[in-house]
Amino acid sequence: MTIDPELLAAYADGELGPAEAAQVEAAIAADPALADQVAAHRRLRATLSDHFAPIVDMPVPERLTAMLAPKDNVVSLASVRAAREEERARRAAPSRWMMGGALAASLVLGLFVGGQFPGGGPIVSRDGQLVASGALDKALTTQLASAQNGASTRILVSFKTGDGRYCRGFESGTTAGIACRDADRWTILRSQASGPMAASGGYRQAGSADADIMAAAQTMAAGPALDAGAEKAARDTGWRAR
Amino acid sequence: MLPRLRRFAAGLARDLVAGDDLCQMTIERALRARDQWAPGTRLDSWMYRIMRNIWIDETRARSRRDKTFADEEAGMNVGAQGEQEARVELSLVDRALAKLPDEQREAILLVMVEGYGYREAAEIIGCPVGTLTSRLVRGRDALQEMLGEAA
Repeated sequence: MTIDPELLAAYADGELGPAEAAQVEAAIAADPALADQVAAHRRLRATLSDHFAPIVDMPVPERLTAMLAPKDNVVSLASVRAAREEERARRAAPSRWMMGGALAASLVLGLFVGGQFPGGGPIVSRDGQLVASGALDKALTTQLASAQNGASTRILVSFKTGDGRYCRGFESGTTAGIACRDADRWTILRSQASGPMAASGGYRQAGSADADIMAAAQTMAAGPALDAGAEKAARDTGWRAR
Repeated sequence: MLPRLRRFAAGLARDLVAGDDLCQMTIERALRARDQWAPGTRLDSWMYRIMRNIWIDETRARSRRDKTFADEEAGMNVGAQGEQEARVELSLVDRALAKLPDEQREAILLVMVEGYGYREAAEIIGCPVGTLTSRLVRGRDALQEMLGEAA
């Protein structure tokens, strides 16, 4: 078969399926010139990625990070708003929640976290999404809000959204948030600092992160929070959306 | 993600400082348009697409504005703190990349520097995969020619 340059490039970039790759490999074995081209392609790739690598290790200029930095007055505004929403949610039936605030939070968090810490922390970036990892993932998957004495991650509430997904509010050391179950992972829809760290600036009282999360959960939930029995049933069926 | 966005911006804009301006515009637009990001889709691809579209708009506006200027030696100096030899070698790559047509350069950057698969890169650019592949091959051939033994 003839190997056109596009096919050869796709092979060198690992874009071919096994059958096509095998055909290209057979052609390469028969023609050393093709092998040279693949090697040249990979050398160029290495040259280019080495060339740009220093930028990723440089500190990001403050004019960029400042655009995403949480400001004290913003935090304070957010908690005022959360309190107001909680009040409104208590009085009126929960309407379809727009999630604008949660998106902004995960956008900002994603820009900071995404790609920088591929492993380790409780929240990691996978395929550009923030998902729970490690102990947090385990707690969200197995722990029941009704039975969690002394656990390092606390489940604050479990509930279902209008589209049938299960979501859980959590508090884990320095982070509180809401995670919703998507197929095989917990996607973080909302996350904020909690615990002693969040008190800097004097705006936050102990437990105010919990209140924010509960308020957000109330606006997201399609019905009441799951009781102990419903929560256990959901866990035992793998939190599959229904 | 910010360091990766800066890297792509520096490559597109051919200059680290101009790249940071591009980053700033991208973040501004992303924050303004955050309601348009669909949860469950890749945040990084969305940001790259915004950045790339801003860059295209800026380039068009600029070429209308400065038709009379020719910035032949435009090139960035990543790692300007480095050794003399390293600087010469770096700017060789910069100059070669800067000479590529924009459409080839963005294809090369997305696949060979940012590590996107063909399908994802084509989605960011908004072109068919076949178009991306042929731009990639043309850009690669031109770079290899310009860089010679260095690549």
